[in-house]
Amino acid sequence: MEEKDLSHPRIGVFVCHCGINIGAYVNVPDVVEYAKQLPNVVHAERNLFTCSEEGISAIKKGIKEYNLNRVLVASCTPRTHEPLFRAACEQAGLNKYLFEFVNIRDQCSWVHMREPEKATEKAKDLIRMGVAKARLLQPLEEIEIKVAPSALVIGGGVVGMEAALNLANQGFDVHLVEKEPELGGTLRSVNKLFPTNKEAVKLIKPLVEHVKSHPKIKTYLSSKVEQVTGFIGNFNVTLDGKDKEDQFTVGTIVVAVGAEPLKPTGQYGYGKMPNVLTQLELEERMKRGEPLGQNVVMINCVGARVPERTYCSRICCMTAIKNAFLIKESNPKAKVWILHRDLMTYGVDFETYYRKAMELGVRFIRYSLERPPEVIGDEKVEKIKVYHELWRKEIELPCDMLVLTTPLIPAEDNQNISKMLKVSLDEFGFFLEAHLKLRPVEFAMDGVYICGSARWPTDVTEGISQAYAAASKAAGPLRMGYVKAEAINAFVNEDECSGCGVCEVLCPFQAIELQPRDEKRVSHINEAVCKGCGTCGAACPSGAISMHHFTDEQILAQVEALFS
Amino acid sequence: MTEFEPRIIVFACNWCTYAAADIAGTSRIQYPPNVRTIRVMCSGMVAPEHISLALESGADGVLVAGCHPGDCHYISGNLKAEEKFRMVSEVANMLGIENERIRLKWIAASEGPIFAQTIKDMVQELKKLGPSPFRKSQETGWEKAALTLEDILQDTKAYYCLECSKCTSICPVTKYDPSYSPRTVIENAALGLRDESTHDKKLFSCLGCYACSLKCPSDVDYPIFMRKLRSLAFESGECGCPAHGGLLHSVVRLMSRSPYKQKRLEWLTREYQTSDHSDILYFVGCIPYFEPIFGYLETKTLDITRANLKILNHLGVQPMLLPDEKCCGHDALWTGDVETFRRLAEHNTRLIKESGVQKIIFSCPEGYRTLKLDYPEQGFELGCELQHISEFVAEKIEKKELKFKEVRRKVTYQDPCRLGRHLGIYDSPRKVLEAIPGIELIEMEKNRECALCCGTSAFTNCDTYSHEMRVGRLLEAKATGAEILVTTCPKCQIHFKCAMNNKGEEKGPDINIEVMDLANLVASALE
Repeated sequence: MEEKDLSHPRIGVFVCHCGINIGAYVNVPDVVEYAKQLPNVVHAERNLFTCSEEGISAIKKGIKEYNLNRVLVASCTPRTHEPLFRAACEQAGLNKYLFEFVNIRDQCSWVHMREPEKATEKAKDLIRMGVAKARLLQPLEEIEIKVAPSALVIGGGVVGMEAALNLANQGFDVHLVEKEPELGGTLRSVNKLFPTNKEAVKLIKPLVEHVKSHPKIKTYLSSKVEQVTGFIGNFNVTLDGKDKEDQFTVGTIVVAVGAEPLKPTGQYGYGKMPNVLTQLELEERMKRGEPLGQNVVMINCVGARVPERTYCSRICCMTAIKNAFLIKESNPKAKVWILHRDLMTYGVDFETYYRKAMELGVRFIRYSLERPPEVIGDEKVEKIKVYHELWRKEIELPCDMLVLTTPLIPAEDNQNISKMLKVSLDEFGFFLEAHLKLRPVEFAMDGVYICGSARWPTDVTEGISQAYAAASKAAGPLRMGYVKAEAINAFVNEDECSGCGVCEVLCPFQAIELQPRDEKRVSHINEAVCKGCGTCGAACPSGAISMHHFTDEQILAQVEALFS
Repeated sequence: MTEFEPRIIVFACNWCTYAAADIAGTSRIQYPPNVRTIRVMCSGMVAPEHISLALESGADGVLVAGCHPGDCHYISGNLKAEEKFRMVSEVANMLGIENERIRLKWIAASEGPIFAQTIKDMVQELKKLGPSPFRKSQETGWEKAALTLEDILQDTKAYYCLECSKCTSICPVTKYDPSYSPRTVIENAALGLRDESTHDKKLFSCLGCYACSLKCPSDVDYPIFMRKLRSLAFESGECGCPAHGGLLHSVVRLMSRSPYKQKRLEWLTREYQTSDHSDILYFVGCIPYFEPIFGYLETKTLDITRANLKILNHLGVQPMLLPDEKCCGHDALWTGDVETFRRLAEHNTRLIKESGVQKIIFSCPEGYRTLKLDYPEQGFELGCELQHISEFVAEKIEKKELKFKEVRRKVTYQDPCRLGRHLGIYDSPRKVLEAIPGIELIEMEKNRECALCCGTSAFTNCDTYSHEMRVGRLLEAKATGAEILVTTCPKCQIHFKCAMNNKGEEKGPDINIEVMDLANLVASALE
C-alpha cells in the first residue's frame, strides 16, 4: 500500500445525525459548516448514520477523494464504535490510529436535550478539540509476538498436576516442576478428604501415574525454578535440579505452588508436650492406624484470625470436623470436642457434613480471642480449660490428645517466585491476581496464571476448578500462536532520560527497566509488557517518557483548543 | 447581563468515568452543558502540569476522574493519580486558588448519575466563585519590545567573539554533552541564522553558570546573550525541555497573573519572631512551593527557611516576611519568558517599596542575583540594600556579635553559580564556616571561580548529562573526605539529592554524602 504523506494534516470531519438522537438537539448542518473553517480540515460532511454502510463508505470515499490523512467522526462513543470507524480507515489505506473520535451523543445531545443551542456550541468545542488532537496523531503498529507452544507449571501438587494434564491434553508441551522428590504436594500427608471421606491416596495415585506417563508432560522432581527472563510468548526458564540444570522456553506459566500449614511452635504446649499435634500430624497418625486416646480436644484458629495473621484460612474448620468425624466413626466411645471461634462450613455439602458430625457426637464449644483455652498439665496435656461463651463460665475438658488446627500460610518461596515472575504478593505473602472479580486466575503480568492455595487457602475441589480455569487461560495464547501487544503504549526518548528510575518503581506491570546505554543507564520500556496506562510519563521529571496516542502535546492541544 | 457560565475540563479515565458519562447519556440524565471531556486511558496519565496548564488556559474548573481504588484497569494508576493530585492541590492551595476549582473523584462505569451530579455540583460551586481570573479574555496585553537577532548581538557585543573556543572548552555542559557548543551558538547568531539559533532545544541546556564568560578574552557575556536568545526563541514557541513537565514554570506563570492572596507562610509557627515593622525583610523565595513538589525526594527545603529565621532571631532581628511575595522571576527570565518576569518583578517591587524596608536578606542566591542585577536592569528600582544570609552572618562574625559552639564535622563547600561567579561572593560563606569551632573545611578540586554547577538551571533541560554532571561533582565532594557537602542554594540541594536518589546510578553509595544548607549548619551551631 502506498505510504501516505502525513506531514501536512488533511483532516476529514464526519458528523453523525444518529437519526434524531443527535440531529434533533444539535444543529448538525451548522456544526459541519463550523468544522469546515477549522485549520487543516479539508472536508466536512454529515451523515444520517455514520455507522451505517452508507456512512462507512462515505468515510472511505472521503479519504480517497480528499486525500485525507486524518479522520474525525463526531457521533456516539468510542467505547462502542471506535473499532468500526478505525476499520473503515484501515480499509481505505489509512492507519487506524490516525482516527479520532468525538462524542457528541452520549456526552452531549442526550444530556443537554433541553438546551439545543448550548449543545450545539458544546459539539463545536468538542470537534475543535478533536481536530487539534487529530492534527498531531501519528500512525502506530501493534506488534505481534510469537508464542512458544509450551507451558511451565510450577508445583506438582494436585492443583499443579491437574493444570499440567489439562494443558497437555490440549496438545501443548508442559514442563512440570516440583521441589520435592515426589509429586502429590500436601495431599501426600492427608488421610481422607472431606466431604466424601475418600482416601487422599486414591485421588493422588492415579493422577501421579497419569502425569508420569503422559507423553506431553516432562516432570522435574527435586527441582526449583532458578531464573525466568522474557515475557509472554517467550519466557526463558532455568531450573536448578538436584544434580543438573535445565533450560527451556515456554509461552505461558501457571503458578500452583500451594501453601504450607503453620507450625504452632510454643502455642498450647506444641513442641514441648508429646500429646499436642497439628491436624496434619494427626492425619499421618490416623493413616498409620496409631491409637489416639479416648478424649480428643481440637482448638481451631490457632495462629489464624489473630492480629499478626488476620485472615481466615477457610479450609481448617472442615479439616477439624472431618478428623473429629473420622475419630467418632471408628471409635464411637471416644469424646471429641472442637473449640472454635466461628465455623466455616459453607455450601450444602459442608453444612450436611457438619450436621452429621454433630449427630455422631462431636461437640462444639465456642471460645473468644480475649479468653483463649488454657492447657492444664505438666509433662503432657491432661485437661483443657475453656471459658464457655454461652454459659459464661469456665469448664474443664479431659484431654488425652490436643489437636491444633492451624492455617495455611504462604509458601516460603513465594517472595523469590514473585520477584522472578514480576507478579505481586498480597499483604500476607500469598500471590495476588490481576483482579479479584474480573481476572481471578490471571496475574497483571501477561502470560502468568495462578491457581490453588498459592493464591488463598483452597480445598481440593476449588483448587481443581481453578487449575482448569488457569490452564484454559494459559492455553489461549498457546493456541493462537501469537499475541498482539498494545499499540497505545509508553516510549522513552533516551537522550532526555536522566536514568532517575522514578518510572521503574511506578510501573504497575514492571515493564520498565533501567538498561545500560553509552556508559549510562536509561529507562527502557518493554513494549510487549507495557499496557499504556501512562503513569510513568506523568511522573517523569525529565519529560523523557511519552504515551503513544496520548502525548502531552496531544492532550494539551485539546486544552488549548478549548480556550482559543 | 448574561449569567456567568463556568467552563470545566474533565480528564476522564477511559474505563470508568468516561463510561459513566456515557451511561448518563444512555439514561438521558440531564446536566449542565459546561463540561468538556478529554478522554485519557487512566487517571494516572494525568500529570500535574496538565491540571495547572488547564487552569492557565482559563478553565474555571478541572475534574480528574478515575476508577475507585482497587478497580483500576491498570492495577494502581488511580492511586498514583491521587498522589499527584494531592501535590497539585497543595500547590494550588498555596497559590490561593479555591479548592473547588480542582477536584478528584472516583466514578465507576456504572455511576452515570454520580457523574451527572458531580458536574451539577461543580457548576453550582463555580458559579458562586465566579470566573477564573486566569481566563485569557480578562487579561491586559503586555507590550512586547520587538527583539531581533541583531539587537541581541549589539546589546551583548557578542560580535567580538574571536571564535577561540575557550568557552566551549570550559563549558561544563559540553564536557558531558559534546553536541552542545557555546561557540557554535554564537557563530550561528553572528551569521544571522535565526531559525538555527532559536529552534534548538539545546539552547536551553546552558546553565548560565558563567564559567565561559570568566575565560572569554573578548569579554562576551555569554549567559546574558543566551538569555536574550532564549527570549527570542520563547516568542517563537520554544521552551526547551522543561523539567518536571513544566509544572514549576506553569506555577510561576499562574502566580504572575494571579490576583489571589497566597497561603505561602502556613509553615511559619510562633517559634519564629517576625515583625511587620522591621527594617529588614527576609525574602523567602519559592521554597514553600518546593516542599510539596519535591516531597518525593524527601528534601525538607522549608528547614532552610526555618534555619534562616532562627539565625536572624538569634541575632536580634525580627524580620518582615511578605505573605504575598511572589517568585523573583529568575526561572522565567532565564527561560526567555520576559513577560512573566516583568509581571513578577513589578509585583515584588511594589510590595517591597510599600514595606519601606532598608535591607533584604536572601537565602536563595537566585533571588539575590535577580533582585540585585536584573530588577534594576529592567527598570525595577528597589532602593534598598540586598544581602545574602552568608554575608549578613559573616559581617556579624567580624563585628564579634556572633559566637558558635563547637561542631566537629568535616565539610566541603559548593559555590552556587549565582552567588559565586554571578556576584563574586566566595569569601563570606567560607568565613562563616571557619568561624564555627570544630568545622574543618576541605575544598573540592574545583572551587570558587572554577566550581562546577549542580547541573540544572531554571528547571529546564534536565537530562542524563545533567545527572552525569551532578555525579561528577558529588564524586569530587566525596574525594575530599568531607562528611557534609555544604551549599547556600536550595536548588543545589534538590539537584544533588535527586542525583543520589537516582536508581540508574551505578556509582550508588560512592556519591552518597550529606547535603546541607549553610544556614542549617549555622543554626545548629548557635549558642
